[in-house]
Formats: sequence, C-alpha cells, structure tokens
Amino acid sequence: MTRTPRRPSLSPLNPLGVLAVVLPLLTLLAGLLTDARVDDRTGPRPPATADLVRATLVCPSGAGGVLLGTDGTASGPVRVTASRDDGRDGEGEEVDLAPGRLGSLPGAATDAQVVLGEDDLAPGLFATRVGSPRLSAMDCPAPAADQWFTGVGAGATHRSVLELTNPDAGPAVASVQVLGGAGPVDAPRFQGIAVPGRGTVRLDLATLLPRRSQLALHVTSDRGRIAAAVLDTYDALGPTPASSDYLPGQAAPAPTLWLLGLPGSAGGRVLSVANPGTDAVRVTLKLVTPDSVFTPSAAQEIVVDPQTIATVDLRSVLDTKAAADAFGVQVNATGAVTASLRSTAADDLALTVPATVVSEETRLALPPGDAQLEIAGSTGVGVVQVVGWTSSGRRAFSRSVELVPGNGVSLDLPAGVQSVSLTPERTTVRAAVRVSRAGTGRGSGTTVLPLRELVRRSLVPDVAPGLPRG
Amino acid sequence: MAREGSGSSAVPGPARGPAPRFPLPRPRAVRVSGVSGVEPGTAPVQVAALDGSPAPRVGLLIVSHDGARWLPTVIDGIRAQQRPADRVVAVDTTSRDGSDALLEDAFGTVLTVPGGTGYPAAVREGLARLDDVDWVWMLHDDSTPHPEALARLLAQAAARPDAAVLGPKLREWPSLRRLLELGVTISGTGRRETGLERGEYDQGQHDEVRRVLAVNTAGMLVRRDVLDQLGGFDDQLPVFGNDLDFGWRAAAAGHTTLVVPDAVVFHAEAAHRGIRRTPLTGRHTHYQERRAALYTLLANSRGRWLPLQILRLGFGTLLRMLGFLLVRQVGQALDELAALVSVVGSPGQLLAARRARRGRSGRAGGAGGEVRGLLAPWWLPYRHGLDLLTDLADAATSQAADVAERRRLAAAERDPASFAAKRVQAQAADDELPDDSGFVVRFLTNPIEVLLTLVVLASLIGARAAFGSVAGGGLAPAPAGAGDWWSTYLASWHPLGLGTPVPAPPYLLPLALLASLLGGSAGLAVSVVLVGAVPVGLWGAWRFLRVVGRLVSPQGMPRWLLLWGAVTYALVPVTSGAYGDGRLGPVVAAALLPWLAHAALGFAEPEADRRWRAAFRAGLLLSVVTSVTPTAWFFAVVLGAVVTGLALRIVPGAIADRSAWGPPATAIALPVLLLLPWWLPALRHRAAEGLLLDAGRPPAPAPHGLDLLAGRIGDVGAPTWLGVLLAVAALAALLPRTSRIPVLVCWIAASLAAVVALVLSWVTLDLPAVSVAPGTSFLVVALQGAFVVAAVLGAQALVPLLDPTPARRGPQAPAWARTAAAVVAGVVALVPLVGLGWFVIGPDNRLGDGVDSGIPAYMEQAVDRGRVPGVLVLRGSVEDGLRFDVRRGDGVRLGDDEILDQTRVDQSFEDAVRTLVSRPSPASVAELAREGISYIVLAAPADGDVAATLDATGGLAQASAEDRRTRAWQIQRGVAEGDLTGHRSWLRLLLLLVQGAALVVVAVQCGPTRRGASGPGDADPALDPALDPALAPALDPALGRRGRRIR
Repeated sequence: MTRTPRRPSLSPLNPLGVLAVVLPLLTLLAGLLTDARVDDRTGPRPPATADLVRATLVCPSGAGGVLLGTDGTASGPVRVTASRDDGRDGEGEEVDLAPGRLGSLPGAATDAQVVLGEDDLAPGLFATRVGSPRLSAMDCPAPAADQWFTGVGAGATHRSVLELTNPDAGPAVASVQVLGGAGPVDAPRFQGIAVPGRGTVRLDLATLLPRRSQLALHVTSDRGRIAAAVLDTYDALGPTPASSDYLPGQAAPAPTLWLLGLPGSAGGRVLSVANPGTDAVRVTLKLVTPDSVFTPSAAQEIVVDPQTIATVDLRSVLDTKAAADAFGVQVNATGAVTASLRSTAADDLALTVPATVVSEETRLALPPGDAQLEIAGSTGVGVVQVVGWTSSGRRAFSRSVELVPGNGVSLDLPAGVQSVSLTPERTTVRAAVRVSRAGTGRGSGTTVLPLRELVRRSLVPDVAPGLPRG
Repeated sequence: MAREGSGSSAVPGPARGPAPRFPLPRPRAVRVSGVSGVEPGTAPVQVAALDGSPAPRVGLLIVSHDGARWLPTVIDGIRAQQRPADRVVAVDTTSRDGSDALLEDAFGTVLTVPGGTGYPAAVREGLARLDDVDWVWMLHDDSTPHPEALARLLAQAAARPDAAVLGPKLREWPSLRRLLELGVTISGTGRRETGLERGEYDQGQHDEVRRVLAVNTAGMLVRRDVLDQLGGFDDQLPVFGNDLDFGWRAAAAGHTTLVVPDAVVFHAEAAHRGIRRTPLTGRHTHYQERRAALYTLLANSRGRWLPLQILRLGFGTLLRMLGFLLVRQVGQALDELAALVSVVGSPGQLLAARRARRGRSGRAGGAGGEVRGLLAPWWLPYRHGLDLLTDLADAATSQAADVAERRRLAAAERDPASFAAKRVQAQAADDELPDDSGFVVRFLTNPIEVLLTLVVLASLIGARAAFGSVAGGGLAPAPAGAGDWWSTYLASWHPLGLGTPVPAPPYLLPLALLASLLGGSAGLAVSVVLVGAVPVGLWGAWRFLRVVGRLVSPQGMPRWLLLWGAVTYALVPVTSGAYGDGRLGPVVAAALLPWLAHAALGFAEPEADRRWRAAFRAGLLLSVVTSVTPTAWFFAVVLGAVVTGLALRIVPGAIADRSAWGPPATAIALPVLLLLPWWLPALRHRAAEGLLLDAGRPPAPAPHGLDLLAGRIGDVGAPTWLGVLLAVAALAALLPRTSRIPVLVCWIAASLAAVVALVLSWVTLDLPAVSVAPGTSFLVVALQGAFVVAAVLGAQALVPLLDPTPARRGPQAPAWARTAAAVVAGVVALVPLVGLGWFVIGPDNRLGDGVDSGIPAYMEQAVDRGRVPGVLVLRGSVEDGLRFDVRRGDGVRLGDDEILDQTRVDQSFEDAVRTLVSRPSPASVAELAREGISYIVLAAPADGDVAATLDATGGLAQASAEDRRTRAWQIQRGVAEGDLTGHRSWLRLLLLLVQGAALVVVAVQCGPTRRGASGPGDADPALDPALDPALAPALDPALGRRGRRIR
C-alpha cells in the first residue's frame, strides 16, 4: 500500500492556508478598529451671553423711599410700577436716570415697586429700598426661581413677613419649603401660593405658621416669576417700638459663606445655619478682620442635621477682644448650607446675609447714614477701586485698595456718599456696606447691604432642533 | 420539508429514468394512411340503419387553410373510411401551401374562397353544394378520422333518431392517445370545458354515449335540415367557439347533441395552438378564443342575467389578466382585455345576435332548463382557480430547494458516465419509497421536527413583550392604521414639524402592505414583524443551510446540524439586542437575510432562466432589506464585486455569457430602481444622510470593536461571550481541510462585512439634531450569518470524525482530533441553547417603555384632534442648551422619525425660538403663531430661568400642566393654522408610478416558471410521440419534426 503524499495544510505557500490565516485576521482587525462612536451633540452645550435688554428689579414694600441708579452710560427713564396686594395694576411712573446720578421715589411709595429698565438702561440697573421707622434697607432683587431665607421667625418677639411679588401680567405660583430646628415643617398653606399678575402676596409667618424657633424658607416659583423678600421684625415686647429690617434672599446653599458687615456693640447676635442637604454637616466659624481670617478660640463646631436649621449665639465669639476689629464671619461647612446673622442693638435689628462674589464693577445705592464698606474674600493679589458718589453723580470719594487672600478692608465712606461703586482688578472679592445712624429715634440704627454683581449681560441658551420625541 | 426526510426530490426529465407510463395496450397497428390509430372497438360496425330504411346520404365537408402538412394524412383517413361519405365538398380559403392542389387531387373540384373567409362562411359556401344530403360530416384540414369514425357516428344516429348533432371522441394528434374532447361545454367565465384532465390518456374511461352541449366541428355530424334551421354557424365567430355557440343554439332550439366515443377523430388543434396563423387569428390566438367565449356567453345567456354577466366577466377578465401577468404572459393578458373591450364595445352586434337567437328558440319552444343542465356547473371556475393556486404553490416550493440537485443533474446530463449521474440514478430509486405513515406519526417520531416546533414556540414566548402595542427604544409607536402609512408613503409633503418634503422611509411600503393584509392594523403589523422575526429567520436559515450543505456535499448536512445552525442564526435578532431595543432594521434584515442568500444561490443554477428568476427574487429581497438597513446595499455591491471578480478569475469565459454575470448585476441594480421614490427625493431635499441610516429612532446603537464581532447591537443583547463563542466556532471551522474552501468563502463575506463596517465608522452623518454614525447593524447580522454558515460547514466536515462506526469514520481521524471535535461541538452547541433560554427568561427590553412626549395630556389630545395646529416643545436648560421640536397631529409615529430627523429646520424659526428664550419680543411670538404654534411646552424638569423669561413675555398666557415640573404657555393671538400643505410634487408621483410598475414587473419576474405554461406538449416529455420510440415509426417523419417544433 502506497502512502499518498499529504498536502501541506497551513503552509504559507498554500493560497488556501494563507487565506485561512489572513481573512480571520483581517476580520478581527477591522472589527476591533471599528469605532463608530460619534459625538452625538446631545451633550451639554453652554450658553452664550448677550447684552441685557430688559431688567426687572422688585423692591419690597417700605416707607423710606426707593433709590434707583444705573452704572451704565445711558440715560433715560425707567418705569416703576407699584405692585399692590390686591393685584390691581398700580399706577406707574417714570424715573429719569443718568450715569452716576440716582433717581428716587418718595417715601409715599410704600407698596412693593417693580422697576423695569429696558434696552440701554437694562444693564447695570440697581435699586435700594429704604425702610422705616428705624434704619433699614435692601438691595432690590431681581425675580429668581429659587431663594433661601435663613433665620426667619414666627413668634412674638421675632416675626417675619414673606413678601412675594409677581412683576408680570400673568399669574404666578410659588411654593415655600420650611425647615425648622427638628426638620422640615409641614406647611400646606405654603404650597401653591398664587400670586396674581403684577400683584404682591404677603405671608405673615406668625399668623400662618406660629413657631418659637427660627426657621429657614426655601422659596421656589412653580410658575411665573417671583421676587421674594422677608421683612423681619424684632419686638422686645417693651415700650420701645419694634424694629424691622429686610432679610435678603440667598441664591443657593454653599459650603463657604461670608457674612460681612457686623453691627458694632450689639446686644444680641444669633447665627442661623440651615442644612438643606441629606447629610449632617459640621460648621466651623472664622472671623474676618482687616488683617486676617482666623478661627476664634471660643468658636465651637456646630453640627447641623439634615433638613434642619441650627442657631448659635455668637456673642461669646464676637464680643471678645480678639474680635474687636472683626467685620465679618466666615461660615465653613462640610456641605452646602445657608446662613444669616441677626444682630440686635439698642432695640434695632440688623441682618447680615452672605455676600456674593463680585468680579467686575458693581454699584449700590445707600440710605443716608455713616457707611462703612467691608471687603474680604479676595481670591488673589489684586486691587479694588472704590468710588463714592453723591446723589447728583459727583465723585465724592475714590480709593484704590490692594488686597491679598486672607486679608480684608474696612473703609469708612464720607458723608454724602449715596452710592458706592467697587471695581475689583485681577481678583474677585466679597463686600458689604454697613450703614448706621446714631440714636434711637426714627431713622436711626444699622443696616447691612451686601454688594452683588450687577446684571449686564443675559445668558442666551444654545438653542438647536432636538430629536422629536412625542 | 417532509420530502427532506426521504431525501427525494421532484426532478423532471429523462435523466431520472423512465417516467411513469400508463399500461397502454399495444394495439393492432392498423396502418391507416400514415396514422397509426388505436382501434376504437372490435365489434363490426352496423353501417346501415337498423330499421332497414334507406341508408342516409352523408356529405363530407372539409375546410382547409394552409393545411398541407396534415392534409395527406387527412385525405388518407377520409379514403379509409369503412363507410365512405356519399359526397365530398372541399373548401379552401386560399391556401398558399398547395393545400388546394392536394384536395383537388383527392376529391376533384375544390371550392376556393378568399383568404379572409371565416369558418362559418366557408361552411355556408360548402353547404350550397350539399343540398341533396341528409347529414353533413365536417372535418378540418388538421383532423383525421379513424377508419370507422363515420360508420360509428351514423350507427349512433340511427340508434338515436332524436340526435341532430353527433360528435366523435377527439384525440390529440400527434400523440394519438391523449384525449382532447368528448363534447364540450362552457363555464360561467367563458372557459371551454371538456371535463377532462389535461393530457388524460384514453383508456375507455369516458366511453359512453351522452348528451352534451356541443361537439367540436372537427368530426361533427349534423343533420342538414337542422343546420339550415339554425342558420348555420355565426359569422361573428370566424375561427373559434362557433361549435359551442352552435351547440348552445341547437340545444336552445330543442335539438339533441350527442358525443359518440366509439367514433374517433385525431385533431391537431393547429389554430388553437397557434401553429397555423390565418388572417383571421393573426398572432393573437388567445384574443380570438377569448372574444369568441365572451361573445358566446353574452349572446346566449338569459336576458335578465345579462348585466350581471357582463359585470362578472369584466371582473373575471381583470383577475385573469392578473393571473397571466403573474406567469409573465403579458400578451395574453392584453388579449384578455382586448377581447372584453371588443365584445362589450359593440353592443349593437351583441343585441342583434341575441335577437336572432331569441327568435329561433322562441319558435322551438323553451328548452332553457335542458340547456342549463348541459352548461358547466357554477362552481367549476372556482375549482380551476384553486387548482391553479395549488399548482403555483407546488411550483414555488418544489423549485425552492433544488439548486444543488439541479447542478448535480446538469453535471450528470453533461457526462452520463460520471459519478454524479450514478448518484442521481441511485437517488431516483430511493425516491420511489412511499410515505406510508400519517402526518402526525411522522411528526412525532421525528425529533428534529419536534425540536423545531419547540424552538418556534419558545421564540413566541420569548417575544411576549412584542404583543400588543409596543414603542420604546428605537421604535416609535405605530400609527392608528395602515392608511396613515399609505398616506405618509405616498405624500410628497409631510405635515410634520414645520412641513417637510423629505421622502418617507422606504420600509413604509412593505409595512403598509403587511398592515393592510392584516386588516389595516399598523400596530399588529409591527407586532407580527417583531414576533415573526425568529420563526421566519429560522425557516429561511433552515432552507439556506440545507441547500448549502448539499452544494458542498451530495449527502447534505445532518439535520441536527441544520437545526443548530438555523436556531443559532434565527436568534440573532434577539441575542444581538436589536429586538429588545426596538430596532426594526436589523430585526427585519436578520429575518430576511437567509431568504436573500437562498435566492442568491440561484445565481449558480445551471439553467439561465432560473438564474434570471433568482436575480429578480434576490433583487426584490435585497430591496426590502435595503429599505430597513441601507448599508446592506453597499455591502451587496462590494460582496458582488468581489465574488464576481473571483468567479471570473476561475471561469474567465463567463464574462461573455450575459446570463452568468447579468443576474447578480440585476439583483444589485434592482434596489436602485425599486427604491427610487426614496433615494432620489432624499438627495434632492438634502437628506442624503438617511441613505446610510437604519430604520428607527436615532441615535441607533453603533456597534464597534468586540460588539461588532460578537454580534451585539445595543446594550440589551445576550451576553457577549455567547457571540464570541460563535466567532471562535467559525474560526475553528477553518481547520478541517475538506470544507476549507466553502468556509473560506464565508470568511471572505465576514471580512468584507468587517471592512465595510470599519470604513463606514469613519463617516459621521450630521443630522440637524444629532450627529450619528452610519447604520452598520446589517453588517453585524451579515457577520453573524457568515459565522453560522462557516461553523456549520466546518461541523459538516467533522461529522465523519464523530461517527461511532470506525469503518465510516475513515482511517485518518486520530483520537485527539475526535476528542477535540467533540469538545468544540459540545461547547458550541451551547450557543443556541443559552441564547434561547436567555430569550425565554425575558431579558430587559425597551419595547414597553413607551414614549414620553413631555406634553400635557390635554394638549396632546387637542393637537391630535386638530383643535390646535401645533405645540412647540423645549427641553433642556440654559446651562446645557435647549432643544426644541414641534408636535403636530398624532405625534411622531413609526416612519415619521426618519422624515423629521433629516429635515433641516427653517433658520427663521430657529431664530424665533432662540429669541423667545433669551430676549423675547412680540415679534418672536408672532413668528411662532404664524407657524401654527398654539402652545409652548417647557418639558420637565423645566428650567426656571427659561420659564421666567417666557412668563415675562407678552402674548403668552400660562397654561396648565399636570406635572408641576412641566411648564406650558399658550400663544394668545394670531395663531395661524400652520401652512403645512406644501406643494404636490409631480416628480414624486412619477417616481411612485415607476416604482409601482417596476414592482409589478419584478413580482411577475419572481414568479416560478410554471411547467407546461407554453403548451400542453411540454408537460411531460415522455408523452411526446416524437420521443417515444414505440410511436416514432408510426409517425410521418416530417410530422415528427413538426411535432417537436410544436413545443
């Protein structure tokens, strides 16, 4: 029997053998190299910015008048409309503004006022509501979808009124989430609060939600635009009249807060810290002085449980020698928190809320009184130009201040300065103005006004056709 | 499939061995003038009348036209009559082949009439010379009588004095054995009914004298006076059908027509078969026959039924036309129509004919009841229709499986001494084994069939999510009915978004057809597609693999291997994740790919005609697959080019043969033609990206890397290792040497698929809303298909190794090889098992997810019911960007996605939306109102800043929404209806017409070749006397040749 020669099977010379190796390799390579992942353009696309063409500010009700101004170069009228509780269209009036010069509304305009600046007068529009009888003032906010008010009260000595104003013609609906010392407070009447078009709704917490402890309010607009402010009243229950001040809103909880502007020699100093998160946070305090930011030895760590508000008496911290030149408190938390500092001195109430970051020129109208500008929180070595203006638009004060991280500045503004502008260069800062007028009579007392960035440009969302879904 | 078990096949042709024969009695070969007749009987014929009265005088009337090829035999037949005719009159209608001379030599003077003279007129001329006879016996020039024919007719006439017309038994000439007619009648549809099977042999089975409606004029013996009384034949029926009309009239007049089977006449039916063309028939024999039938029916039927009869015949004509078109007989279809138009178009003639008939029957008294009894039963046409359908189905299924066998047969035919030929003979012997057990027993005793059934059942259970209405993942909800799909498909402008001319996706046409067939339910159609994908793929894969197995090896594949391959492949739509993600594209492509591949195997058919049929079938299937996964076409082009290139390298001469490269080229070109209404407008309307996108909502999952090789589309497929196992099996299939070439062919296809996927992955398609990769899901399916085929072929080669019988295993299989093969087989066998189990358990799928439009329900209803023209929906936030779309009507339904996704949004509208959400002005609101936007919806979670902006916008009023996180506004003034009507595109209409016509032509070309469609002689070569050695000497040599030519 002869053995048939066996053909080489996988020899490289055999074309079939070659193919049997090459083809699978080719398939494998091509398959593994195939990468069909394409940027599908459905991811986030940041907005662009454009000049603001329409700015709305809402000044809460008060009896001390309204100061208006613009830091732009345009002049012309802005429209101011009273927003009534009953929702009926209030009478409007036009206030002429010019660069540097402030306009004003008299003290008779006690209703909440909606200030509308359009076109060239929209960017950089600012307004300050001045209250009475004691000195109180508030930088009029723009409507916001989401705001926090920490340390409001609903008791006999400390009562707060939440004022919701809808600047638009259509109805608006707001909801308020209430956090108490023991957790969220069930407040059905604070859900779905209808605010009529161009109307104001005032909610007296002492009536609607009587509580002794301090509360934090989270105001959201479910529908429509809402501007919210809290008028906080301190009543010593004695023969002296009650004192009120405005509690501005905090836009969002943050882990580090700068409460700038401390009334000197106060009788009571209560810090309220609310933790809207789901985990307990530990809060430590530092004092802000012109030279440094330091942790005072008396400061204790505060633990704030989730969804609760905690209050701390800061007198032991602030009324010490080390804290003599402190003009602010830095709140550091392990989570995002909201806070406010409530000071009472000589039956006058002053509220200090976190100052926001200022990175470019900003301006603020001030009520009459001795004003002190407190600057801190510099993020780098830089210079801040501070200019004080009289009501007619004349420069009354100009100072260039050098800042490094860790130190702050407290500047006394000369009398007659009705508005102050602050321009950080190469750094960002936080600042507030403390205005005080001596005495115990009408118009006396202290109020603190944090500076905020003026809105000059609006965000233009990236708009593109989407994949149809329905 | 049942035939598979016995390994038999239905293959006609001489190579199968002797065809079944009827036990024909070898008759005493009475050589009668060249025709060997089978003697009708043995008893002596009583020629004279029984009662002793004088014998009747018979005149023979023969009419000829170019009948020289038959006339010598006919004349011999007449001369050989035992009872000759008393007189013979020959009428010639100006023949050009010397017929007149032949007749003149035989019978003396020939009466010559002009060439255009019809049979009735010719008979009339002849009768004028036969006024002294009692009976007239008519013969054609292509009908030759048996020597006893006239004698037996006369004997019957004497026995039945009531008979006025007598006809012989007509047998086929030249076969001489097959029955043509024993009297005829007409069915309600005008069909000439003989009551015989086609090609029925005469075995005396119909040999009784009976009354019939009519007898053929070839061999008709009729009383001279009756002829006169009935006015002879109708001149309106010059060639065909005059016998039926005459018989009907005779019956109506109370005369009896008998058929006398003892008398035999052989008839060539030259005019009927189109062998002889006369000026009267021209080329359109069928037209003349049909016209005659319609005329006969309408002229003779009862008056009150006439309108109904016309309606029925009109409808019937359409049906018959369709039938003719389906078997690619366009000429006959047109003849049908022309015949109807001709008859119905001359109402004057018809009414005159009816008047004449009424007059005669009126004189004779009513015989309507008798006539009705002689007509064909009413159900007969339906029975014929059913038979035809059965025939077609038989033809379709029997030719489906046999590419491999036909190639082998062709090889055997080329070389009868070859091994292939011997095998074919052996197989033919095996085929004789009868199936003696019932269907149920055969089913239950066949584990493979039981397993197949179980797999189908399991797949139905696994696909339970697809029952009912489904939407989610890549699948949009189906519209309310098939009508929506039809209107979307046909429209040249769609009222979607802001209105768009982008063409509808091409798969809407088959889907709409399916939905219409399912009673108009679009949702049911989607369910059927999803649920049916696995069974259809299983069936197709089984057929394909079976043929592939036979192509590779004559024994074919073991059935368990077929089962493994078919099940593994059939599960690809589900294991890949395409089903779970609602991707109709790969699901449909996977179900149809084996059918397409099977059709493409037809390119290897030995017969050119079958290759062309395969071309159209493959082209049609490729069109359907391309309509859901367009990259299939590009892959087909590449694969076709490579395979054709390789084939030409192996057989260089094939390039000269158009039928070798033509079919594949046709198959690849057909989608271009059939999908014309899609790709051309898409290019025109800047929507060319859609030509590379799979059906379904983008972004479709883009398989890459290992997923591509493991056959995973999306993230809801079976575990990836299962797909890797299959790839490994395909790789291992390269090892056995015996099957390496076919396995390499699979790997060529696989590598091409991978390379095409790689090339396509470099392309980015920028749709207005999203950037996507081209759809490569078909390539994934093709890769899986190639792997399955490769694995199966490799396993087929390993089968002998696993054979427990050492003798059959062969000496070359070492033990380690056997062990390795067993291990590989064991592991790979898991693939379909695990896949099926995974599917049945019910993996994650998105079919039930539904679609959340984000629009408040009342608004959806309002826009659905047309109360408001449209809703602008905004999603996203200022931070991350806002996306908008416009909701119209019932929303985005299946088929709308592709249109909307490729529609470029009007820039001014986009600007208006951008302005609205950033610095709204009355102008931007007015722009939206002009575009027919009533509501603006900011879908949950609504961005507060955007909402605030819109809240502050004049002209917008807040609208309610159930979900507090959703915000909505109503545009208060000036909302237009939304001008979405657009322009009707005549181009689209034209393209649709082209597509429709092309579809009809392609469908007709796809149809199976019906055996015998071109003539009765084709049915069985064994029946052709020219091929029958026993009959051949009996035939005139010239006739034999012509007999061949008849076919």
